[in-house]
Amino acid sequence: MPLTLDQATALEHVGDTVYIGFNDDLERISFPKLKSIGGALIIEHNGALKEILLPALERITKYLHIHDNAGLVVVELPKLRELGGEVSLVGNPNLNIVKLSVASAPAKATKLEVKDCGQPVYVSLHIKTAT
Amino acid sequence: MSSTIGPKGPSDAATGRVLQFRRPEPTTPAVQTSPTSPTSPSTAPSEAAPASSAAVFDAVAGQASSIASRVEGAALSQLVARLRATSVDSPQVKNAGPVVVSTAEGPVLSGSVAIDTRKALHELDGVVRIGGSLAVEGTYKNADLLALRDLKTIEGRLTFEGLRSH
Repeated sequence: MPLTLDQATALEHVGDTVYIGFNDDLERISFPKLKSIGGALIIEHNGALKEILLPALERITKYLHIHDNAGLVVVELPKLRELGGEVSLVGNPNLNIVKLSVASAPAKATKLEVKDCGQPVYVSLHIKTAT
Repeated sequence: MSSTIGPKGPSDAATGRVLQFRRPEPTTPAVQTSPTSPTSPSTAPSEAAPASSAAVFDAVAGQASSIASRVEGAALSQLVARLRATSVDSPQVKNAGPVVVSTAEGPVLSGSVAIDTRKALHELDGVVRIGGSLAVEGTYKNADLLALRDLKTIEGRLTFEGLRSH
């Protein structure tokens, strides 16, 4: 039975980094009400992971790293407004749908790194640099 | 023909000879402790303490900011007693686990918690706030993770690492 991380349906705020890594049986990550992360968001080495769905996430204080998730297909963070660091999508060979929109970010956060993602990755990324 | 089996030592560029590996001389390891709560560098004035000192205690800051050399036996006991006497928040003297407190918003867990069993996870059922960090690892069913359904806020770090399905 595959494992899913979608039970924390009330979670709205995490004060520091969110790290989800090395979970062999994990297929889905979904925090439907999560609005803010006071650190980085790091999701790495989850071989069976297919979806990352964070529909309400508006703020990541540091960076976003999604690395080495062999089965990952979909990443959705459609409401991201503030991002404090770079976006790095590396080593996700099946990733082909990324919905990510950043409305405000410091200049250093405008770096987008996409490597070893195999198929064409369609990233909807709109970054408006904060002044 | 040269053998390709076994490690080769570093070669001497001048003579072409293969030199033996030589272990560096052992040095006394420094024992570092730090308070559980994050401190800014400005509150740790004793980091540049000489290595010969057994323990450096910054009475002004009220914190054990560094222990620069090995502390063993009686010296360690004395240090722990001293830290206890001064109510220093140190991981070596603080053993109290997180406590669930009833509040108007619901049950609140006061500190950080690391979960690695189904039983421990179920103890989070109904908790709405965690005052520290939450780390979850181990083997679970999806239904076990429903224990997190009321959680609204985690004030520290959230970690899911090494999860497996039951």
